[in-house]
Amino acid sequence: MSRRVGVALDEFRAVAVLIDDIDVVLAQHIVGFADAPAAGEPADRGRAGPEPVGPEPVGPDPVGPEPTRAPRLDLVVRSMCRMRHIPADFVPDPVHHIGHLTDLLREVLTGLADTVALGGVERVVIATSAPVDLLDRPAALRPVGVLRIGAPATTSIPPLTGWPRPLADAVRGPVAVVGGGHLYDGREFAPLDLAAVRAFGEACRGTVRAVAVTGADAHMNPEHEERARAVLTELLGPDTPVVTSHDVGGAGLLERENTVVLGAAVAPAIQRFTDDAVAALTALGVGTGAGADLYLVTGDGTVLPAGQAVRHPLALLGAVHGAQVAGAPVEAGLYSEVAGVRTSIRPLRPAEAPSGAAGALAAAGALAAAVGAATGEASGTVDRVYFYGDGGREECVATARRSARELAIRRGADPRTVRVGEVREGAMTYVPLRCVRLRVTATGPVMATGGHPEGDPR
Amino acid sequence: MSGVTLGRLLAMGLLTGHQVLGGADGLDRRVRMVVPGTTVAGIEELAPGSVVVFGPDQLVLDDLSADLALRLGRSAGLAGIFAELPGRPVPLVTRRLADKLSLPLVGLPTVSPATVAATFDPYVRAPEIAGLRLLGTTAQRFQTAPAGPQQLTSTLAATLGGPVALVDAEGRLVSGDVEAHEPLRRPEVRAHLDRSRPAPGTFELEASDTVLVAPVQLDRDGPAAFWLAARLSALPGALLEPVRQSLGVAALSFAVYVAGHTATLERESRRRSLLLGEILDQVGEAGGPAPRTVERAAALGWRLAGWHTAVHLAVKESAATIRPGELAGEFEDRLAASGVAARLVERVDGWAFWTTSESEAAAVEPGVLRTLLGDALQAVEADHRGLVLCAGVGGGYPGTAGIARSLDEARQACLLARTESGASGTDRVEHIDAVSMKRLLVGWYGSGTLRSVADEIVTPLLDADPSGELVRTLRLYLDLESSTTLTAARLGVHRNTVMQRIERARRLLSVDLDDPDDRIVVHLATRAVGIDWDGRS
Repeated sequence: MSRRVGVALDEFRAVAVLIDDIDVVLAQHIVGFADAPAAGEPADRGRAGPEPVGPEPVGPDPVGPEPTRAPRLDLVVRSMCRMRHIPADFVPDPVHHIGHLTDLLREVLTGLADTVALGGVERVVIATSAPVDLLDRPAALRPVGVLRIGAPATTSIPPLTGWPRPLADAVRGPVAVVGGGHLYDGREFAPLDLAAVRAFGEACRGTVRAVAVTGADAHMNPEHEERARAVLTELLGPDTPVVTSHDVGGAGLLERENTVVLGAAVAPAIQRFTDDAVAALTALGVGTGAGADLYLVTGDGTVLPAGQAVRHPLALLGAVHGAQVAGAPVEAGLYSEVAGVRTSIRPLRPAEAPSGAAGALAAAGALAAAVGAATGEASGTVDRVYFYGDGGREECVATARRSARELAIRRGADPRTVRVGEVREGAMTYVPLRCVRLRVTATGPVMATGGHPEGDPR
Repeated sequence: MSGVTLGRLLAMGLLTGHQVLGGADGLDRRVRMVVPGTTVAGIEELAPGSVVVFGPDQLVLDDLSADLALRLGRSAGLAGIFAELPGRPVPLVTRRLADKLSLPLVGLPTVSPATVAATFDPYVRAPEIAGLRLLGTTAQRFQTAPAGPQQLTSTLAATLGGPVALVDAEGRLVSGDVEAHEPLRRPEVRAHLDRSRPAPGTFELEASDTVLVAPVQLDRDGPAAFWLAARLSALPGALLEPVRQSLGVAALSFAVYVAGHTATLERESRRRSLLLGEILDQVGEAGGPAPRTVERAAALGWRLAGWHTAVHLAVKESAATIRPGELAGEFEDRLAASGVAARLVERVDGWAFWTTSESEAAAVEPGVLRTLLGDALQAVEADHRGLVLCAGVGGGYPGTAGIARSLDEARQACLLARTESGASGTDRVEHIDAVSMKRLLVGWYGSGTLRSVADEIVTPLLDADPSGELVRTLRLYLDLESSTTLTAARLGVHRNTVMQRIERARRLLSVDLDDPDDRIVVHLATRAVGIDWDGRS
């Protein structure tokens, strides 16, 4: 019996559903503000603000009524709701912000548990982009360490070049470009300067909450990034996330670097959120024995084990939207395969805009998001250049397919039912060697981990 | 269950230094085959129930590929994964994943996959071979009798791969694990152990545990002196008979130890008795005992010079067969615990020992000695159902001649102690001085002729009431100076009942209870009844 709980969560609203193994919704619970603004609407509502009252459970009808009650909230967020405008210089403490998210999570799971027993739940999947939405409030970001491994090359364009001033000032911590890196075919370009990495680590100690590491062509060979990670983890401790660019993939150094720096800026919030969420699940007794597995939804509607979310922070962008797209057909009773949702990173808003007011969850789409989270599949994507060996193009394609499949399995997909999608090829023009850029995604339902495998002779 | 589990394979001890890193819940899954691994990806091709062995080149445990291997293994239905232990500790994430998937992950110091697979495969394909190996190992280890109970239980537990306990005839733990002792208290097992003809037994417990018991008998048709019990979990059917036979072999081997141990004790005891006899014989001769005798006594730790106080012990009643050597040893232990170093010597009608001090003044107080002896008697009786002991203490006298005299007095005092009917320990210990009046009775009780007269007097009462209640009532009545009230209170019956019984006794007796002389004789006769004067129980 594979029971799953899906949760869609933002600062104003939380929806939780319990799904059984044939994707039937068994129970649901919604908590939220009485008149929390719908997505896109401004906070100014001309009303005095909601009175906090207790949550009300909703019946199993999938197209449920609107939420009408609000849970107990701490003072800061309550005052946020009462304000007509949220002033531009209001900076909610991200720590508080995450604490509030977990309060809502706890509230909605407790409410669900009152309706139905959560002891046999195998996994809990949360769709939320709230930890990553901190990027909208640069003032709320803390500095990160930025390490680039590529000297003596790549020095003409320093890290954070071209960034908007406020954002760059907010995230800039110790910055270093050290010797090392690889070439386009994976060969080592220069030996890794471990002493410099260590010096950078010392500079980061006590000043930053996370570190971003980018190596030249690391997507072809992650060795230097991994060695740097080992040194930094030793110096800074296991509680400081180290985000590396080979996890992002893609051929451009600057693109990868910008991505991991942004990712490192929100990684501590994600870490805090997943830690608190796991603690909440344990305290509520969700799941048997070793506890329920925790997953987070990514922007394309697929799911990621919570422990791995810190290494792919920006994957959480658009999580709710992705979950809604994945969940709407399931909710409506149509079982269709989601071929993939193209996601783009929206431009960062200027700091003056009213911030924090727009919730990602629209009332109507909230349930679809929760269902999408609970039924979400795991996936793995590879996107890199393969060089023709003796086997030619076919061998490269087979390798790419295998790598994507293994990545999906590492993210929790069941090896027996994982599907490898179409291999998309990008021609490599102006390159003298025989090579091809391949991009392929493997997707599959998450493997059931409770009890013993079927067909087990006992 | 006909197959072999990974847990049982590991318990065979064929691999040294193995560590179960995670997934221990899955150790009771049946193993179909043990195969060397090729690549991590190749796991998907393996059949369910396989155990795969990876060499250090194929799988490194402190790497992310370990996680992939575990997930693929779970999906393929593997029974376990073996790999080499890396230099650094295996990451907690990997161990937790193994636990979560209930897939055993076992680390070995060095791995040669082909060798490991070849070692285990025969036991997996033909579990009877595992059984034969077990029996062979047991036979080899118990070819010579164990040095004692501890060695028996620890060796057998290591051989069988589960807890083993040795218990005595009353079910008390002698050595071994509590886990194997606990099931023996259950009613169905107790019933089996209490049967008149001891036989091996097998009992199924909850959680697929099996308990096997085997008796240790010193002679083929005798009772079980001890019971050996083993508790094994997830025992496959094919191993049941070999384990039973192994238990039998170990029990036989231990019986040899017990018999030898007992024989040694008895030999020693005989030697001591003979030596004491010699000393007592030579006391009267000029110059005392011969130098050679004195030397041998000194070698045994006996003191011949000094102020001696002797003690004589006897068995008043006993229910089961008790080995004399055992009782003497227990008594010595109890006394030693109270600070009295005693070396018991077996005599015709019990045991004796003496304590020696430098002078009369330094001799132990009679009251103190009585209490110590009373406590020791009670402690030994507590360990043996139905056993009643008594003891007598002689006066203190100097020199070798003093030993003889004190021993004599102690025997007399013990004789008197036999006639006591008290329940507490001190009542059973008589000091010769305290019974100076009673010395007069010693002649009475000691004379066989007079005792047969007593029998005649009492026989009519016993014929009328074979249970002896009538005799007991009469004795108590006479002890309590003919008070029906006190007698009724002591017996817990109505006064009228006592009067009726006494009336009946008067009618049955050939002598007249109202005559003082006759009454004394009847009184003495009732006190001498029921005691086994000549034999030793």
